[in-house]
Order: sequence, then C-alpha cells, then structure tokens
Amino acid sequence: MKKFDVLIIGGGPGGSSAAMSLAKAGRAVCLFEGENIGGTCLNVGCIPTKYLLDRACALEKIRKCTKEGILRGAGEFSWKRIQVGRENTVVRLRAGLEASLRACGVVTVAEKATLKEGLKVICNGEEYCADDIIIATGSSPAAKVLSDSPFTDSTGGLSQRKLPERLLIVGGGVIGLELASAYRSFGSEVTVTELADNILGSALPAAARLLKSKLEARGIKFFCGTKLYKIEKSEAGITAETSSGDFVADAVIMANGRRPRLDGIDAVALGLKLNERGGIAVDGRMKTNLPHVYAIGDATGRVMLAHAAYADASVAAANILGKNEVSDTRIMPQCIYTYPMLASVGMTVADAERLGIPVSVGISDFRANGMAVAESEEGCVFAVVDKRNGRNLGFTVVGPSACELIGMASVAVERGYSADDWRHLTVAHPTLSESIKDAVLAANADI
Amino acid sequence: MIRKVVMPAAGQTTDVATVTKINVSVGDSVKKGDILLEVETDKAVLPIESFAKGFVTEIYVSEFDKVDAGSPLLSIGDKDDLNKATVPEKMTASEPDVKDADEEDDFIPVMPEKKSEAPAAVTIMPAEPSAHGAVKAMPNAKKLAAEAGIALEGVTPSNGQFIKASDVMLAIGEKNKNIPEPEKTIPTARMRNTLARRLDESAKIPTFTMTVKADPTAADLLCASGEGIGRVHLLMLALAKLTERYPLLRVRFEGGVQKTTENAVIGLGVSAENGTVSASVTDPIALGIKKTALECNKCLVNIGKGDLSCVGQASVTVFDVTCYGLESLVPPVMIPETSSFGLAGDSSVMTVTGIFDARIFECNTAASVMADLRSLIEQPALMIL
Repeated sequence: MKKFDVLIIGGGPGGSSAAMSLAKAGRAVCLFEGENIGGTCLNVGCIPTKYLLDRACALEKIRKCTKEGILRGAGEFSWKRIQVGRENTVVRLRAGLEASLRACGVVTVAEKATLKEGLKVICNGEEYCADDIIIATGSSPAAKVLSDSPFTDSTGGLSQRKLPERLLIVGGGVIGLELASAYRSFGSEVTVTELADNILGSALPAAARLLKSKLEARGIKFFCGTKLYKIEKSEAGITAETSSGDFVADAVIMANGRRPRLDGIDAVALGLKLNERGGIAVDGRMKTNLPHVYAIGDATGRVMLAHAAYADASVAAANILGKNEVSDTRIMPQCIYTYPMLASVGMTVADAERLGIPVSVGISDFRANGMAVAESEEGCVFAVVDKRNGRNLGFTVVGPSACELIGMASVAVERGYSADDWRHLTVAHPTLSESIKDAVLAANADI
Repeated sequence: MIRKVVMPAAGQTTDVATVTKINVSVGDSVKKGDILLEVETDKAVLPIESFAKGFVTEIYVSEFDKVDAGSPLLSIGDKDDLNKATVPEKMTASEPDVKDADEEDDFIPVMPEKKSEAPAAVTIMPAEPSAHGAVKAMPNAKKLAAEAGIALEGVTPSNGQFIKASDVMLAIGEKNKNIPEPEKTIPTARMRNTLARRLDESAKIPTFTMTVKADPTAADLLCASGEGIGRVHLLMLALAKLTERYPLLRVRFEGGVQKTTENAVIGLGVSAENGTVSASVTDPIALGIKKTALECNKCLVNIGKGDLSCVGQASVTVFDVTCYGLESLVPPVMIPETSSFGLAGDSSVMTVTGIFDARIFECNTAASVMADLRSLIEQPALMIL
C-alpha cells in the first residue's frame, strides 16, 4: 500500500490547483487522472472554445474592414488550420500544467481511480491511502453520445472535421451560444433550439434579450420553448423532430447542460451523500459527510465553472492544512464568450428583489463610449445598485471585452463600492472601462 | 524518421549545380511531389521534388550555393522530429499528434458568397403527425394557430399535405369574420375611397391632443450613425416600447369592439399617390432601430413606385414633418386605430403631439404616455429595460 498525505481523484482545474497548493505546503500528494490532465476546461471546454472564438472574432473584424473598404479582399481561411491551432493550444497548456505539477512534486498517476472506504483509493490494482481525500471528478455532457449517434456533444462540437453548412444546436445556454456564435462566424447557418421560453434564463433579462438580438442580427436563428422529440439520420442530413417542426441539418450539437461525473465514486456503497443536482453534497468548507473526504468543482454540481473549481480547491486545501476557511460564491463572475460577449457578476434585479433589496439600475450604452465607437463595437453595461446606500450589487456587460471588464466590476461588487468611490476613481480615457463607471453613476442619478 | 533530400546526379557533363531558389522554410509541411528547391546545371534548371510527405526539419544549403551530386540539401521528418528540433524540451511531454496538418487544405472565403437563392439555412420542415399526436404543420403555422386559439386539427391544409400559415389565416378569418384578412395590395381607386371614408369617420370621433417637447440630443446622436436612421424611427421604437406598459396603445376600436394585437405594429404615415397610407413595421423593438429604419426606408421607396405591399394595419401611426421645421403637427387618428402621433420641431427640439380617441383613453393615461415618451426619446437606453 502506498501512503500519501492527500489523494486527489481528478486532474482538472480544481484537482490540479488543490494538488499544487498542498504540495507547495509540504504535503505528499498523489493525483489520479484517467484521461488528460487539465480536465474538461483545458482539453474540451473553455480553452479550445476560446481559441475558436478568438479566430471567429478575427474573421468578424476582417469582414468589418472589408465592408468599410479598408481591405480590398477578405481572403480565405482554413478550417483545418483552425482545428490544428486549437489542438496545439491545448497541448501547449497541458504540457505547461504537467510540468508545473512535476515541479511542485505532485505524483501523478495517469489511470482511473476508485474511492474505497477508509480513506483508500484503488488504482490499477494498487492500493493507496492518505489522511485526506479530495474528489474532483468533474462533469460530463448531459447528452450521451454513442458511436452511432446522429448527434454530438459539446466535446465533438469543438472538433468538427468538416465545417457544417447547416448546424443545429440544441440548448441556448452558455455552451450552446458560444458554439453558435463561433460557427456562425466561420460561415455555418446556425439554428439554436431552447426548451425554456428564453435563452440564458438566469441572466439579467434585458441583457439576455440584447445578446439574443445581436446574435440574431448576425443570422443565428432561435426557437425558444422548443421540445426535442427525436434526432435521426435522414437522406437530407440529420433530422431533429421538435415541437417547432422538423429541422434538417448537417450536424447537430447537443448542448443541453452538464451533469456531475462520479466515475470511480460509488456513492451508495460509500455512504456518500449527494445533493439534489446529483453532485456530491458539501458544506462551506468543501467537506462531504465522510470524514476527511472533500469534494470540489463540477463534481459537487454547484457552480460548474473552472474558476469556481479553483475557489473550491483553495478552500479545501486550506481546511486540509488546518485553516478554517469557508467558500464564498456570491462574487462569481460568469462569462459567455460569444460575439458580442456577455459577462456578469453579483446580483441581477431579480436576485435583489428576492432578497427584498430595493435597487436602481444604471445603463451605459457603448455608443457613448469613444473606445467602443472607435472599435465599431456595440453593447451596454448594466449596473445594479442598492437604492438605500448606492452600493454596487451586480453588473452585466454585453459587448466588447465584456469578460475582461467584469474583473473590474467584480472588485466593485466584492468591495461594495458606492457612487462616491467611483466618482473619486479616475478611469483612463478612452477605455471601455469608462462605461462601467458611467453605468454606476447613471444608477445613482436615480437615487 | 528524418530523411535527407540529396542533390541528384544532374547530367552527363557535370555533377555540380547551383541552388537558384529555395521554396520552403524549416517547419513547412510538404507532400510528395512538392517542389522544394530549384537548381541550375550547365544544361537546364531542375526542380527538386519531395519524395515524401512530412515537415522540413533542416535546410543545409542557401541560394546560389554550389552543390555536388549526393550532397544533402534538406531533411524531411514527421511532426515529432520537427518538435525535437524547434520546441523546448519541457514542452514535449505530450506534443500533439496533429494528423491534419499535412493534408491538403480546403480554404473557405471569409466573406460569404452571395447566393442566388436564400442561404442554405437549417431546413425547417413541418412536424410529422401521429408520433406525438401533433398535426403536420409548419412551425409558423403552429405559432399562429396557438396565438389565435385555433386547433390545428380543424384546419385544412391547402396543399393536402401539411398546414401552412396561410391555411391558419384562412381558418382565423372563418372563425371571426370581424378580423379582416390582411390586404397585401390595395387597388388605387378603392384606396382613395377607403381613406376618404376613414378620415371622415375619424373627424367624427371625440379626440383630445397633447404635446411634449423633447431634447433631441440623444436622437440626433443615433441619426448621426449614417444608417438612414431618423428621429421618427426612435419615436416608433419608443412607442413600441410603451405598448408594453400601455396596452391601450395597441387597441383598435371597431364596431364597438376593442381588439388588441399581440405585437406592437407601428405605422408610419406616408403620402402615396391616392392619399396617406400607413407603412407598418411589426415589433420594432425586436428589429432594433437600424432594421426599423431600413424597413421604413424600403417602404418609402416601394410606395413611391406604387408598390403598397408594406402597407398594413398598425396599432398606432406616426406622422413626421420634421423636415419642414414646423412647430407642431396634429395628425388624424387612422381609425380603427385609437391614437396617432405627429412629429415636428427643428434642430433644437423634437415636438411630439399625440391625438387620442377619448372613448378609449383617459386624459391622465395619455398624459403619462406622453411623459414616458419624452423620457424614452431623451434616454433611448431606457428602452432596453
């Protein structure tokens, strides 16, 4: 039996960062990963998607310049090269992460592991034991793709060998919208169906509507309130039978959410408590109901974002190291890398209303922002402030660099900035950030 | 595996040649038959072709070098060989097996090619019947039927196969004769008569008017975008937005019955050959100001040519006389509509006069509409909320 201080099952963002923090603190750490180090985010999620979206934005910029007569011809692009670049980006980052883990002294076992009772893990016939165990098994797409499935999931959606001329995406959430936006830029005719009455149900409704209208203006078609009955291969392509009629496409991507993945974790046999989302139930210290067993990231089914997993990992590692830390998910930025982007942090109007907080909403239109006008970009910043004292409660940004701007907004929400704080803050001109300040001041004008 | 490309024996008289052109660089992917470089002998210029596919890992010669037969010119290897040569050691842990890189690329034009027919969008076909109890119908037909409260089972498909929106429209017409079939084209003579009759009726209904003056700065900023946007388009959007808060603005009063449309349909009063008609734009909020302006401008052109296909039934109609620099305009109520709005003013002010059917609108409701209208015109960003 091999003895370590901490065993970590799963080498995604949460597992890897917990492993490195603990190893740096002098703990002997063994990390098990049955697939690729870096998990969903690095290999088949955020990173490859961002590569595609970056190239997609470049194409949109070229189109704009061509329409304005700045470029005489827009030229041609290679889908194959984009795919190669996507793979290379993933490999480069993965190699970097593997090197970092090695440098910290984390022992990595590239095999699937099974959690056993008594703080033990079985991997490849060998038994490992430790004082603490972290479960970081991540999540997988809700749609199960078999070898003969007529559809693919978000993972397959990233690596379409041939650019589909007609693409149907089932699901108008973050993943569906990002893929829709990217493929539209590459020239596919994209249709999105969504079961709910609106896309992005939890976002600020005005912002979701604005994003939808911008995407529609780019030619993406939406069918909300649409139930999917069946998908099958047909002579015309792939036919999806829905409550809004039949859709025929060359490729269908199921982007209907993700589920916690509990590979190697027999919750029933272990007596491990699960939550209503099918994830592992944890308390604020990321502790499960089993002593010395922690769970972090997507496996808990709480907030399925890589940066949420990093935050969970930090809390779990701190508690293993004897510090008493509690996770705080109030300030959890959410980014949607569409063109234009949508990013939000803190409360929406509905969130505040649920808590009985009277709010004022300030809007700043990027058409009044010199930088955005120079970049020929459009959108809005929405600031939600507490009507009683002017404190910043939340922000939603639709438009250029929204996912970067939200960092500044996160600080304002976390620190509870007021209009006075913003008035005294000098924001460089011309920058998109000025719109964040303008939105806060607009909200406070009403108070 | 790295393989070297060597200088072949070039001719019978000499084995020395000069490198005249190198077509590749280190890292380039090459396939069998690609011309790697050109050499000149005393007889001719010879192309040196690649005998394998892979990547150029090293080039041993420079242009104008003299090379003997058998001398290595360059080497070709696979992706791993290339990585060994160019990528730092620590990054090679699991370098990708990127299979596609050395295959022929199929380049796609960045600007979509203009196609003669509609783009190959995801094809939408009517849903099959039986499996889920649904009647075979086009999606827009289903939507229309649901909105009108018509059961699809009772609708006869005109093509004998599946129900189209026009079939549902027909069924709606039969269900409620009071709702007229939307007219696509109005014959000129009849139009003149209809307009005259309606204006006559309009003069008989009790109305009251209210005027607001708004700061045009924000509106003029939008107009400055040079996309054909005018102050009137902002007014149309603002009215459409207000129909959410004041559903009365969508009411058409006909035969003692109040009817309301699902979407805000805003008409723009346009002078046609035989009188003023209303070019209607459905749901300008969803369209956005650019498309609304585009639609209106298209209608203006078409109406000028005598094509009245964009003339339709509106919820409210706006009339724009801004270009004449007048103080105000009291428009007619285009009955069965119950309110109209006249836009006038000059560079420093936007004057909007609303005329309201007094049988439908209370004075304070109308006043509230006018005050909100001014706010929206002065702060268009509020429309997003």
